[in-house]
Amino acid sequence: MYKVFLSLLKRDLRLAFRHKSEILNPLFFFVIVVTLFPLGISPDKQILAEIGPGIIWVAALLASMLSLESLFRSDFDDGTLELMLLSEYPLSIMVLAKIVVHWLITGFPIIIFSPLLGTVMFLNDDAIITLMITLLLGTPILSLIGAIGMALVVALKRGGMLLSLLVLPLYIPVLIFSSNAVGSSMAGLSISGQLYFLAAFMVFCLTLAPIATSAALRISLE
Amino acid sequence: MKAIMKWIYHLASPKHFYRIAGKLIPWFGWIAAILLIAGSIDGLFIAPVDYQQGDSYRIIFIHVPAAWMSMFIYMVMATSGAIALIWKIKLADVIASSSAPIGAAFTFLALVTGSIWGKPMWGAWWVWDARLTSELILLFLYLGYMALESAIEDPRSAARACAILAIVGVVNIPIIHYSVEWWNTLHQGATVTKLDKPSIHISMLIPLMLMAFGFKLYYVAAVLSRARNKVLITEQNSSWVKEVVALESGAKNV
Amino acid sequence: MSKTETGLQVKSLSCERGYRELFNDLNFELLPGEILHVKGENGAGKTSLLRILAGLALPVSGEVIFDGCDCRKYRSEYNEHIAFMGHKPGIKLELTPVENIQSYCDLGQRKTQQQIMDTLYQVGLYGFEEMYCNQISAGQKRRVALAQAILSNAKLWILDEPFTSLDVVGVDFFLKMIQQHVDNGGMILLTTHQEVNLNNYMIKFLQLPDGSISH
Repeated sequence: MYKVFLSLLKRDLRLAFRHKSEILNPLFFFVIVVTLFPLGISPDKQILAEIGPGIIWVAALLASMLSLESLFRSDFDDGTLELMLLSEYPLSIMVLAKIVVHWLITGFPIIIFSPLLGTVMFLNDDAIITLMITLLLGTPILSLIGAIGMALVVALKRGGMLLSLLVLPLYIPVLIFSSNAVGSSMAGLSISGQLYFLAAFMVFCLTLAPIATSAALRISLE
Repeated sequence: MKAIMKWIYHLASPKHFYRIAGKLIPWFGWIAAILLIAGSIDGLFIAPVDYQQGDSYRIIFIHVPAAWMSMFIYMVMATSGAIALIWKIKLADVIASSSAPIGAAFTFLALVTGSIWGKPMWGAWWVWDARLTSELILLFLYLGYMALESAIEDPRSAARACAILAIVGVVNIPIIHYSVEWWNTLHQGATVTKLDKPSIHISMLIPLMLMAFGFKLYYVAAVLSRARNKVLITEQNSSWVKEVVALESGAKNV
Repeated sequence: MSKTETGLQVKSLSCERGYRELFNDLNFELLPGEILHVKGENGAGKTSLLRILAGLALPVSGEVIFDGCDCRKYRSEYNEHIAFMGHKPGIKLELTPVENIQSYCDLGQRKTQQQIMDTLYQVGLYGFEEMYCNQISAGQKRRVALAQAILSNAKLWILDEPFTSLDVVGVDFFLKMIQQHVDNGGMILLTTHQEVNLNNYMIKFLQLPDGSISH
């Protein structure tokens, strides 16, 4: 079972590196969206520092959601997803491998680049560290919940808009707690409560989302 | 156990359901109408004026029951979705998908009445308070459910996919609700659910309960009649539906 | 009816698409060493039947029994015994044939590099094993998929239009593989629009939608 997980992980990473745009596009999107806000609102340091955490998090959320297509779409189109469904191993293990890859190629680069964006939004050092921690805890949740939504729409021709309708409401708790944690650490307040919530929610999603995703995939491929 | 399951399957057979639901709908409908009229009269004219909010508080007799119904119907959808997935009872799918627009309507009603109530209280049509925001997110969940249902062509796959979505949604609702509450603790807490020490006077509680039960029975009547129509569509190939259709159209011709 | 415990038994299977009934009360069985050729016009439900038998789709009612076990209850065991080749190629274009077969085999029993190479030569892909699959022809992609089926060691091959985009040599070769599989006690379920010379084998025809069997 472990071997299936690793084999699929290796395969998907190899595919991602043969399509470099899959890794770079979400990252560029993330950076560009954050850049739009100072241009659209004001370059004022006070204002940006106040809205920065929320903006960076909304951008991360959208970047993660828009890259969900890469999770199952190509496997669906070329039929390898069918072969996975017909494997003798549990589908949820394979789904988990694919979600891990999705996080590695979209969530992880965002975490690496977040200090840069924190700096341009005038967050202080504490807030930047908190931003990275919340992204580390939060982006896996986005990939896990997003996988359920993507599995539901994978067989539909124009599922993109629908996907955002399904997935974004479920992202709200992550957004609330993460951006609040960054804002609080800016103000020098304790943030352990928010981080505990995010960690608990991540573990919760990690256990249940692969099961829900594989159930959804079986229905979508009927 | 086996006998019970057999009995349930028998009751849930579309043909049986169609017949029984047809008989039950008028009962639920009329009782709902009576309760709603009584509740409205009691709530609008008999219940005392609130010493802080004056007469404008009376909208809670619609707002609060509608908000309850919006949550309750989503639970019904998730539960019947789970029943349909596990025991493969087709009727449960029909109930779930018939419930969605009714639930969305109640959610919308709760939002509208909430914002009307907010105007004299806060001086603005919309305030980002916890309950209204939760209700708005719930409306998004309903809309997502209905959008998914209409996007999938095959009705059976659509029902099964929606069941998964409703279950995922229902697991997330408490988490969303809690996070929104936490995000904004400005609003007055739920006043009625504190059963040990009710902070609402009995003269206001009675019309509230009348309205709540009226809404619930209305929902039952509405969902049964929608489900009845849906059953005719899903079972259009079976002989009993053809008989029903022949009978109805024959009756019209005479 | 023989009460065998091996092979595939289909009992009163019905299928609907939308609200339209495709077929109703389908009964047949497939024994080791037999080929079942599913025939029918476009839209008669051939692909739907094959997807149901592969366990990808749900029938409205009915049972699929393999070696005496309900294939829905024993999904993992059933999946060990079947190889499915659908309309879609089932291979990734950005991977080489070897990588494709390797990752397919990892979904089931693992195979050594040597076994994979041998099978690739067997299906006539000598010299193409290091090319990406988007550089090889459609027929060659079919051969990669065939190599996957051969390596899966599955007893039952479910083949939906396997001969599309194969040339005459390719079809002959595929038929030879089918012959070999059947001779080794395998079973084959297939649909095809092409006139192929399958007559030498133990072959049955299933006509959809009425479900009549002829030899």
